[in-house]
This record gives sequence, structure tokens and C-alpha cells, in this order.
Amino acid sequence: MKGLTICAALLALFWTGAAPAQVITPSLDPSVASMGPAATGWKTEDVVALAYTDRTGKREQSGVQQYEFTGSQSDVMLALTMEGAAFELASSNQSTGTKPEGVYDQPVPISNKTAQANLAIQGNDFFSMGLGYRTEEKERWLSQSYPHDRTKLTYAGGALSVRLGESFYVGGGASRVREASDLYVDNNWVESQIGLAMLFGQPGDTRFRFEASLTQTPKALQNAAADRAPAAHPGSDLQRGALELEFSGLLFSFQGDQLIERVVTVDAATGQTSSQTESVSSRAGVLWVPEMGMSLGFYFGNQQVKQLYTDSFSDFQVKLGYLF
Amino acid sequence: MNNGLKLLLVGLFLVVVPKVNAQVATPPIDPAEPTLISAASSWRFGGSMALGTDYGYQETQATKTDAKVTGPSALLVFSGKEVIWEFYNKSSDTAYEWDSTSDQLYQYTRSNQQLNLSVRGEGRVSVGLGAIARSDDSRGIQRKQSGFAGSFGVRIGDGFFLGAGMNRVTEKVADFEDKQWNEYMGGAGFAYGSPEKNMFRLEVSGTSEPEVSGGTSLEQVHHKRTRAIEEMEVLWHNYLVTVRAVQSKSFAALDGESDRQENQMRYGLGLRSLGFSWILYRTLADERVGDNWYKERYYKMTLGFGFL
Repeated sequence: MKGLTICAALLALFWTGAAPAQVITPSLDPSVASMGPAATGWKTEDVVALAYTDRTGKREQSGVQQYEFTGSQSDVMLALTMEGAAFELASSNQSTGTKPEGVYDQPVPISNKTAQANLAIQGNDFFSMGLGYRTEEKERWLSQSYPHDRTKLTYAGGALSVRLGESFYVGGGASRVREASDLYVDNNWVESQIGLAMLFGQPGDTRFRFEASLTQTPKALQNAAADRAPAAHPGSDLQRGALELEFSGLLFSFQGDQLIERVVTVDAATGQTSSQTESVSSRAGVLWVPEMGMSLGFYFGNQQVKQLYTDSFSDFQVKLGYLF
Repeated sequence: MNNGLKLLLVGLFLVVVPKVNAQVATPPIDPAEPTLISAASSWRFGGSMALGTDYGYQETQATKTDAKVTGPSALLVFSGKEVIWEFYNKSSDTAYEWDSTSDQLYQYTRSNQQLNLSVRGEGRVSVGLGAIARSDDSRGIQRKQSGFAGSFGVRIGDGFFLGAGMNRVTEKVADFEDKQWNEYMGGAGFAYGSPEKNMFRLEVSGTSEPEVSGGTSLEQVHHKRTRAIEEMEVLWHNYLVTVRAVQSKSFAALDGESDRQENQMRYGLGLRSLGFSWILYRTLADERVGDNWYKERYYKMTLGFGFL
């Protein structure tokens, strides 16, 4: 049981990729689903979109390469806007072709599925208030004894975004997160977000958007019960930033984030320790975004996860959307 | 693997791709030529269908191949108001690659398919996506490459164009671990005039591919490559004259290899009238490694029909 507890703490960070920074304002790329439900309220486009991502990477520890990661992800999203309200649905399915080996005792991600729904209302072009529901199902290889560890996270929450003057936005929100696992006791905590943004220009004109946000979760521990191990969620800080420029329908998008989980991890085999887990991601994209009709473009990105080992990923995404 | 075979594989450092396209920022005036990045195809003057083929020989210090037809290709372009589709196919391109160490020629068979989709916005910007499928079979090593491409272009003023893009390529070789890399392309071009009358086009572009190494055998390595391409086309009263220079460099990755550089010149002369085109090209490619030398001498003919 103690070993499993350590694993639970080790594995909070998963193969997530760059998190989009749409917490209080939506991306200028209409085919990106908003992370915060309040951002959905500022959407102006009805859109349906598909995306496919090719993702590769490797894991190294003490200068030794342990794994080559290959994988892919498919995404689909739908956004509908009405007078004073907006609705978003999004889903993604990520899988890896990596075959874990028993010689290394670190966890290996196998699949990750997410689904989310946001509903928001907008008042007098002054505020946006939204509700969001999101599920995330992860499967990972822990060891030869536990080759398929499944965890399901459920997020339910609300958020508010306020427009100050013509171009400035501030806002925040909170979500109740529930974690259910085959191996560990159910756990729960509250995730809080704050952000500020600048958005200049109107759809069809030259536009510029900047957003920075911080998402925090507290440490959450649950004691063992029945035949399941104690659960541990480490406290975390996630900083996101986005910079977007659009002219003549050509959109350049840059996003970056840094996630730090305050968890001490110990390699049982070597005695090596790591005082925190850090993930740094960056992503850039170029898209054609008309006022109506077909939207298309591509993104490319990198991610590095450091703890006892270092995971390095790169990805390339192509996406097609239709604005109606 | 014995040392002799290893040396042979190491020595068989692939000749850089001899027949390249230079259409990164702007499409060619010859409607039979494909674009290198999908965003460039959005500046085409309309749809087209075309065929092309090469005829020529390769020669080393000790060997000269028989002149023969190689590399038949086909191009199909559908052009809507804003959306452009382009499909290019070059299959069963059978020729020889030069082993600079032993000065031998070894037969290969290559194919290349590319599907491009691009959108032109407001006559000033373009964004494109593409799908790639390539194969290379030589000396018992079968490489299959597949991938996606993304690119964009900008038109500044009446005739100045900028373009850039990347291909995300995955290579599979038998049971070896798959290799992935990104190919980067960028270029600047100037195009002025009408393809039905008089037109001038000038483009300078470059491409870069990184080294990917998963081991010490040739199957596990993708060599770093760079290319610089300069091209000029002049259409004068339906007569087309083109000149293109390509400097390709392939960098050593395995023991016993050395960097290689190939210089290629291509000259073209032909007619483009009432949408029909008939262009004859002459390609001269030369390479030298130590005392060994290698050259290619090809003619290429394209037949096309562009519907504006």
C-alpha cells in the first residue's frame, strides 16, 4: 500500500501537452475550446472543427534513454452562440503506441480522453458568467503488476470574466475536482483560476490578444479504505500565457505554460529524489480564420517534463474547421 | 554485421534528392510543376492538369548508365474561388544512387505523392495543409515516409511574396524504430504579369532537415540536409525561359562518412499559350568527393493544360 501511495503522488502529472490559455477570453482561433467557461461567453463564432495531432517523445533518466514515445490525438469541438449566450462542446482522445517494459519502474502514459461542456451568458457586453463540466480519463502503465491503472477526473465549476473599458478583461473561477481510481481511494479538491487579458480589434479586422492566468490546486490526501490505497494529490501551480495576432484572416498564435507540482518523489531503485515535478510547454500555430467558411491551420509544439526522469515531447497538429 | 558490409552501408551515403521543386513562396509559371509547400499553390492562376517525365543518364568515373526514361509524374490542381486542391504523384522513379566511397552506382526505386489543400484570403494571405507519402527502396532498405504539412504565405504589394512551412515526417524502415523529424522551408519571391501574356518570376528559397539518429546503421539514420534554391522564369509572348540553381548539402552522420554537396543547374525553354504548355528542361547535376566524381544529365518534358 505504501508503494502505491508513492505512485499516486508520482503520477499526478500526466501526458497532457500544452494547455490552451483561454481562461477568461476565448482564443482568436475559434476552433480551440475554452478552458474557462466564462471565456466561452465572449465567443462570437459558430464553429465545428476537427484536429489530428502527431506526437513523439522520449524519456531519459541519468543520461539513459528509457522510452521512445509515439502517439496521436484526435479532437473535435462545436461552439454555438446566441444572443447573450454561448455553448461549447469538445472532446479529445490521445493514445500512445509505446510498449512499457518491466525493467524501468516509472509510470508510462497509455491513453487520455477528455470531454467538456461549457455554457455561458453575457451581460451588456460587460461580463460573462459560465458553468463548465469536464471529464478526463487516464490510463497508464504503472508496473508489470499494474499494467492498466485507470483514473477518472471530473471537474464541475463556474467562472466570471469582466470587461473593463474597451479591451481589458479580468476574471476567475473555481471547480470541484473529483478523482476516482481503480487502485486508490476517491479523492477531491478545489481548483481555482484567475486571469487577465487584453483583446484589441473586432472580428474581420486586425486583432491582438494577450492573456495570462494562474491555476492552483491544494494538496489533498485521503486515507486508505477497504482494499484501496491512500490517495494523494500534490498542490500545483499552473501558469499560462497566450499571445495572438490576426490580420487579413491570417492568425499567428503562441502559447506557453509552466506547471509545477509540489511533490517529493523517490526512486526506490537508486534512492534519487526530486523535490518537484515541472512541466514546461510551448506551442505556436498559423491559421486561416475567415468570418465565415472553412478555417484551417496547423500548430507545432514542445513539452518537457522534469522530475526523476525527463520526458521530452514534440507534436504537430493539423486542423480543419467550418464557421457558420 | 561484418566490417566490410558496414563500410559498404556507411559508404552508401544517399545522394541528395536530385530533382527538387523550388516553389515555396510562389507557384511556377509552368502549370505542370508542383509547389513545394501547399500555401504557395494558393497563388496559382487556376486549375491545371499536367504530365512530366525525365530522360537521361548518370555517370561516375568508372560507370555510365544507359540513357532511359525515368520519373513519370502527374499533377492535378483544382482551384476554387478561395480553396485550392493540388495532387502530385511521381511513381516508380527508378534510377541509381552513388556510393561515393566505392564509386559504385546502386539501383533505387522511389515514389512521391503529395496532397495539398490551401486557402487564399483576401488576395493577401494563404494557409495550407498537406499530406505526404514517399517510399525509397534501395540496396534492400525500404524506407516508407508519411506525414503532414503546414504552411503559410503572405503577399506584400502587387508582386512580392513570402512563404514558410514545415513537414512532419515519420519514417518506417522494416523492424527498426520509427524516426520522426520536421522539415522546414522558407522563401521569398517576386512575380509580376499574367501567365497568358508576359510574366516574370524570381524566387529564392531554402529547406532544412535535421539529423535523426537511432543507432549506427544506415537504416537507423536520417541525414541532416540543407538546400538553397534560386529560380527565375520569364514568359515573353508565350515563350517561357527558366533557369534554376540548387545547392544541396548532406551532412555526415556515421563513421566513415563525409559531408557531400551537389550543385545542380536546370534550364528550361517552352511554350505556354491558350492554357496549354509544353516545356523542355535540361538538368546538369555534379558532385565531387575526393578524387571521385558523379554527374547526372537529364532532359525533362512537361505537358500541361491550365484552366483559368
